Amino acid sequence: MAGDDGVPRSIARFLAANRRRFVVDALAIAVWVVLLLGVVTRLGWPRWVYYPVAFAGAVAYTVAVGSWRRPGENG
Amino acid sequence: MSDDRATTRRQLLRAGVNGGAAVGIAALSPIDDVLAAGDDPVTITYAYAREEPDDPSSLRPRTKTVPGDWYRAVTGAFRVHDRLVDADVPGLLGSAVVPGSYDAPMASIAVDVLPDAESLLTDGLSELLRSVDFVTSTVEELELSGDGGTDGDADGSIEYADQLPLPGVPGGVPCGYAESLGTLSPSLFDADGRRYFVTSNHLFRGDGDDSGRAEDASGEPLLLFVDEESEQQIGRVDEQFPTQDFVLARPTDEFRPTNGVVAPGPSTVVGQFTRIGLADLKAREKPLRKFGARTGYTEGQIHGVDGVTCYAGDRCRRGQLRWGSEATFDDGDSGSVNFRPDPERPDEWVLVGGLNNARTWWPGQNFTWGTAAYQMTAVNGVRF
Repeated sequence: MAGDDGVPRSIARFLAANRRRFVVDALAIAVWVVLLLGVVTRLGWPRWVYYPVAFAGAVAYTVAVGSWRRPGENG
Repeated sequence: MSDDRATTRRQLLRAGVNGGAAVGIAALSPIDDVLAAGDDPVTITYAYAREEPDDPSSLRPRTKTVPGDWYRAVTGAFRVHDRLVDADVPGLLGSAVVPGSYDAPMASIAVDVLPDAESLLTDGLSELLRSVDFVTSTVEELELSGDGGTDGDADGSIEYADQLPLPGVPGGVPCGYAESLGTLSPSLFDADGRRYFVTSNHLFRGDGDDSGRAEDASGEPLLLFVDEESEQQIGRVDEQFPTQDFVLARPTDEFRPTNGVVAPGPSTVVGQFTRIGLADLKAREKPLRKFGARTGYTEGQIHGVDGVTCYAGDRCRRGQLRWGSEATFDDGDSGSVNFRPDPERPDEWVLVGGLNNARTWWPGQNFTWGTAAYQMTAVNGVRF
C-alpha cells in the first residue's frame, strides 16, 4: 500500500513512526553500558566479558520491549 | 502470517541495531584506561637492609613491584586512616589499616570503639566512612590497665638462651630490671651508627604506679638473665621513649649488643620492613616470627598495619603493627621483635617488622601489637 511513495519516503516515514523508540533505546543502552562498566571494573572482571555482556543485555532489552512498528501500526 | 514474519524481522533488526549500539558505546567507554591502570605494576621499597649485616653505612633500599590497584587501595586507606586519627574521635580505642590481597585489592580500616562511641563514629565521620570500608568492633569489658598487664610477676617458665655468643648478646634473650621480666630486642643503630641494647620501656615502670607514666629510669641497670641462678648487668638506660615503648641502653662491662635473634632458622638482622612492605606481607599472607623470653618461638599472620592503639589509656600510640594472636605473646615477651626471613638471603638473614609490646586482653579480639620499626626510625631516628 505504500508502494507508490518510493523507498526514501517510506524510510523517512518508518523513522518518524519509531522516533520515540530510537531515543528510548539509545538512552536505555547508554545507561546499561555505563552500569556494566561500573560493575566490571568494581568486581575486577576480565575485559573480554564486557563486550559480549553489553551486546547480550541490549538484545535482551530489545526482546523485552518488542519490535519496531510500521507506520500506522498501533503501539 | 507474513505480518508475523515481518514483525520478527523488524524485531531482529532492532535487536541487532541495539546490540551494535551497545558494543559501540562500550568500545568508546574508558574501560581500557580503568583496567589498564589497575594492571600497571608499581615499584615499592619494601625494606631497608644492610648489604654488610654489621655495617650501617651499607644500608640500601630493597624494592619490588606490586599490582597498581592494590597499591592505590592501600595507600588510599593509609590517607583516610591518617585523617581518622587526626580527627581524634572520643571513644576510639584503636584502629589499623587492613590491606587487601593482590586478587581482592580493596583495603579496609579496622576500628575498635567503646560501646557508646559507635554512633559518634558513624555520624561524625560519614564523609570518611564513604570512601573506604570500615570494620567496626565494639570493645566491651575493657579495663584500662597497663600495656597488656604488668611484666612484673615472674611465675611461669622463662626461655633462657641455650648458648650465648658472649660478649655479644642477641635479641630474644630474657632481660629485665629489678623484678620485671622482658625480652631483649636485637640491637638498634642510631644515626651515627652506634649500637644500643633495646627492650620495652614499660619494664621500668615503678611498682604500683597505675598512671601508666614511665618513671625516669635514666642510668638504671639493664639485666641479662643468663639462667635460673645468674644474672648480669649488660647496660644502663640511656634514653626512654614511652610512646613508642622502648628504651635504648648503653652497653657497659664487656657485653655488646648484636644484630641477631635467638631463633631457629635465619637469625642475622640486616634491616627492617617499611610500612608498605608490611602491607605487602599481609597481602601475600606471609607470617611473621618472634622469639620471646616467655612464649619462645611463635609465628602469626599480620592483621593490621600502621595502627593506632589507645587501649592502655594513658596515650595513643601510632605506627603500631597488629599481628599474631594472644598466644603469640605473654608477659615477659615485651621487647621481642617480629621478623621474617630476608627474601634475598632467606637461610641466613632476617628483616624486622617491629617491636612486640602488648596483646589484647579483652574478649572479642585476639592479636599482639607493638611499634613498627619504620615508626621508630621516623620518630626516634633509630633502625634495626
